[in-house]
Amino acid sequence: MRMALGAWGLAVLIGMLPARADEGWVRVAVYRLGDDPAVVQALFTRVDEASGADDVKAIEAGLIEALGHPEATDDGRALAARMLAQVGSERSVPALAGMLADEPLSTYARLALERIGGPVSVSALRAALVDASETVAKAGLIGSLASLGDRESVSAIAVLADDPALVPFSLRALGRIGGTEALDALEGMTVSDAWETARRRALIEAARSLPPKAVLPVFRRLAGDEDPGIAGAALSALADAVPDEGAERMIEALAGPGEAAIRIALSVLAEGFGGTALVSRLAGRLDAVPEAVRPRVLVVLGHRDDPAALPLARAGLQADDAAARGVAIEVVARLGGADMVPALLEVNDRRVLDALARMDGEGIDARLIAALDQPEQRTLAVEVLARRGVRAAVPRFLEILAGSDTEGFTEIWQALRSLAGDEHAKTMVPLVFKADSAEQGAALAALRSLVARTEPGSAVFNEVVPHFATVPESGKDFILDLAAVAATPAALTLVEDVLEDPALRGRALRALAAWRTGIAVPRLLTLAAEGSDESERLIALRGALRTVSGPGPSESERAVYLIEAAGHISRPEEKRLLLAAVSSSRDPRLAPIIGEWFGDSDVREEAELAARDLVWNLRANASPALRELASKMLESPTEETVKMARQVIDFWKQQ
Amino acid sequence: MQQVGNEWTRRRFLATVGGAAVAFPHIITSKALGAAGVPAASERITVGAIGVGGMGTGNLGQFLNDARVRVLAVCDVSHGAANGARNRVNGHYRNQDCAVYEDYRELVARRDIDVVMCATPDHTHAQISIDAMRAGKDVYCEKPLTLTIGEGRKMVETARRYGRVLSGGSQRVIGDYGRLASAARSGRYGRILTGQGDPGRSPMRCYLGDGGPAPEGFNYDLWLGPAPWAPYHPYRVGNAYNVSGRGFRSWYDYSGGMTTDWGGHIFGALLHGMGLDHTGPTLMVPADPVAKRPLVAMFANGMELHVTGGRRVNYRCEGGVPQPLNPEPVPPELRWYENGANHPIPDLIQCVRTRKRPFQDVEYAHRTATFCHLVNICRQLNRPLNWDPDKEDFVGDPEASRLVDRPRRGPWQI
Repeated sequence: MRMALGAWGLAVLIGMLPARADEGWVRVAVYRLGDDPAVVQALFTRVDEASGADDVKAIEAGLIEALGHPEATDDGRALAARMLAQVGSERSVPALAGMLADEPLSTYARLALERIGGPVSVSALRAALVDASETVAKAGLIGSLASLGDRESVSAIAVLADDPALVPFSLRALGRIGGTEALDALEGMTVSDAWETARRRALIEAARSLPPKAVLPVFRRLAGDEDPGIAGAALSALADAVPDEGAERMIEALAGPGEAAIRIALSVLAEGFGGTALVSRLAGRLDAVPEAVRPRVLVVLGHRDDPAALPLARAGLQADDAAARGVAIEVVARLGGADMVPALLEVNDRRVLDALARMDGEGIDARLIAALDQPEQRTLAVEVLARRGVRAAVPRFLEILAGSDTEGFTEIWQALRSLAGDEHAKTMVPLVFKADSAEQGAALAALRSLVARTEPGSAVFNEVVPHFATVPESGKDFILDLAAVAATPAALTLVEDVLEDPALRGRALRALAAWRTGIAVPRLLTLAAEGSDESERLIALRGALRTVSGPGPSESERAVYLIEAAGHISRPEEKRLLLAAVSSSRDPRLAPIIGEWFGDSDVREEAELAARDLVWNLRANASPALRELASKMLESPTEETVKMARQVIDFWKQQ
Repeated sequence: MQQVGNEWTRRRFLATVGGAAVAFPHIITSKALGAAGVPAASERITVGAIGVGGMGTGNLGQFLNDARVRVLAVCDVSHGAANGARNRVNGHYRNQDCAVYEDYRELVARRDIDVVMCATPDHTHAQISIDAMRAGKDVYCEKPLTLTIGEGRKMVETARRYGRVLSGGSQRVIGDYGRLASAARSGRYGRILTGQGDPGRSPMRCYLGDGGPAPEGFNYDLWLGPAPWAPYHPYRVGNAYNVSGRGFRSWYDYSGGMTTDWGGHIFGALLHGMGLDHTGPTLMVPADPVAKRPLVAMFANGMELHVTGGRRVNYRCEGGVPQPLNPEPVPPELRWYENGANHPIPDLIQCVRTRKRPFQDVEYAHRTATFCHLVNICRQLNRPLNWDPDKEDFVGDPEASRLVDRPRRGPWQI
């Protein structure tokens, strides 16, 4: 324990003094609770941080002296005994033994003696038990002897069970000490009804200390005890020693009406007593257990991870009772391997999906892929494969989609949304456009998902382009939307070609305005300048402003685009879009645009924000355009803008 | 309980020494044993609540609001707390059936109670939980699970031997820190290198003098339980939170301080997230204020837990510092509550019936508490300590080994 700061000086002083016969130990001896604790706190720290055998020996000597000091108080002796609990040895035993007869000092003496241990301490405790007259002191001495496992004290402790005040302590100690003598003493003992349960509890404790086969009669007798604690301890011991017999006793309990007995049996099972032998026996006899209890047995068996429970659980997969079936599914999935997959797929229960998705082990995915050949299992197998993320299933999915048996098509398309990759595009894309109306939505969603997940430069969209000419109107709309997502050069070429078609120009323009990257910006700016009508020019301008920050253009190109776009802007809405794009830019050529819009009350706030970002990002570059912008910022009514401008201008002055 | 002159008055334990067989004065004794009209045990899980002030009040609410549960009895050494809880239970069920006890041993002796909730001061958790499990009860035990490492091992042994379900009591391990653990274990950030958090200070040794007689309606002797006898003082038994010197959590004899209290949350969360709540560190290195290095616990798999940074739990992974994402799927290898439970109490209730081990099974709760105790011991001895997490003992340091457990006052043995 870290001592209070105020005690440091004293601690140092005590550390420098010889440990023995100094004033410090005397102060311990005469200490009274409620006095200034600094002295004893410092000494405790000295004990805690004692270094080396000689130091410990010196401290012990000082403490022994404190115990024997003629003016020692009970508080002081108690504190000295506490310190001896940490550093005392057999040398301390005589001094401590003198404190054992009476409470509360007896407790403090035992604090030390139990920690010191060894035959000398045990002898002192035995002698004190003979001499002590106080009941509480005797109870404590019994406890200490039990704690030290002193089998030679058994007869002395057993005799004390005749004392009504000491009987519970005698019984408990005999149980803790254990061994044949304690067991015999407890067997031969007669106690009042009030203590009979405590006697049997001690008996089971003592019996558990002996080789199980030597005390089977005790376990057999107590396994049916009315006290659930005793019965549980006895049944678990019996199950370990004779698993078959344990299983039979458990069957009896599970088949009986008592909930407490059922819980005892389940606990024995849950804790693994009896091993596989017990589980096998139990599994073979489970028909004797009421149906209402079987699911609870299955849960515990699953928890034990014992494969012996597997046949039992497998039999439960087709149970009519939903609870029992659910447990069986959980257990089979938990304990079973790949060979259990077909059995689980046959179960008409959605919980199988979760169970199979979580199953761990080799060969499970292969079994699931093989199950795709069974039309009645295909739907579930597809869902499980998707949940497990098995990309190896995709080729087989595509083979099925190319076939005539349409079972599971919708689920397969849904699975392909997450599982299909670039390498599958060549086979998958034609199937998407061949899908009939029932699956078309799912098929298109799968293709869109695949395109959205592809990296820039992916060739997936190249597989789509040839279909544009052959698909109906709605398909063309879909492909144009997809082009914006793909955003590849091939997609751009397609859209630019379609722009020439008056019937599809509007769709193509909207696709261009939604481009995923910035590579369509030059085309959009051209349309913003030369569009056939105001609406077209506005869509193109807004598209350019939205996509200019996307991947593709360099910082310098982006600035040029924005300057060009600014020339087409008249409305506050587009100004705001441009200012948002400027905020992330680092090109000083944009400063005049921002400065110009400082005077526009509709966008002043956004312009100031963009100005603050730009001057701060480019403070290392004091170009005239930036200096002019900073000067304008000084005239702002916004304190934050002015502050930022001053900061940057001061920075430029220091350069 | 008084000090007369310089000597303690002889303690008269005869009233308590006989344990549960001795009749204690009940505050209210109506239908104490086997209340009439209670539904059959097979239809619901019956609960007795021990320690119904502080966290006990919140826990009691969790049990009352669970339709699978029936609270049959409450117990507290403070008559005011006990009576208040009884009134709450009776009000909830709209009857007068709740029994009330001062001595937990009477409650534990009831055959009709399945689960005991223990939310007493820290130093009595092990005693009450072990006595309850030996009597065939399942247990919800508030954090910190124990006062000593040795108590925890005995709790685990008792639970296993008697086939009992015990859940530790930190709702924050998942509730507050679970999403961060999920992120750290998601694999997105690579392997976890370190965890970081600090629940607060260790306890102090208590030098409080005689604070006068214990107030009427408060059984101080039962409150002390296994702790060494000491004179009553209101600051010794107070509920004042934190290590302020005004409540039990300040003192070494009754608590591991904030280290074990919030450590149940902070260290529990970190050990859970790091997948280390079934074991313990192999080396504890005390803090070095000069080098500004925190106390560091090192584990056999190379991970480290740094005791610093307050109650803000953090992990550092090979790929950066995980951030809690919402929603974050729970990685399959990360333990979680059973069947969608959102708190350790419904998680325990589920497991009482299934007999599966709950999220904060006694072993995990014990390992978390052990880590807290190791931090306290390392701070106390202020030297590097080698720890064997399998033997649960220090290596080559007999003095440290003596701090693994503590002897107990006469009538209280586990």
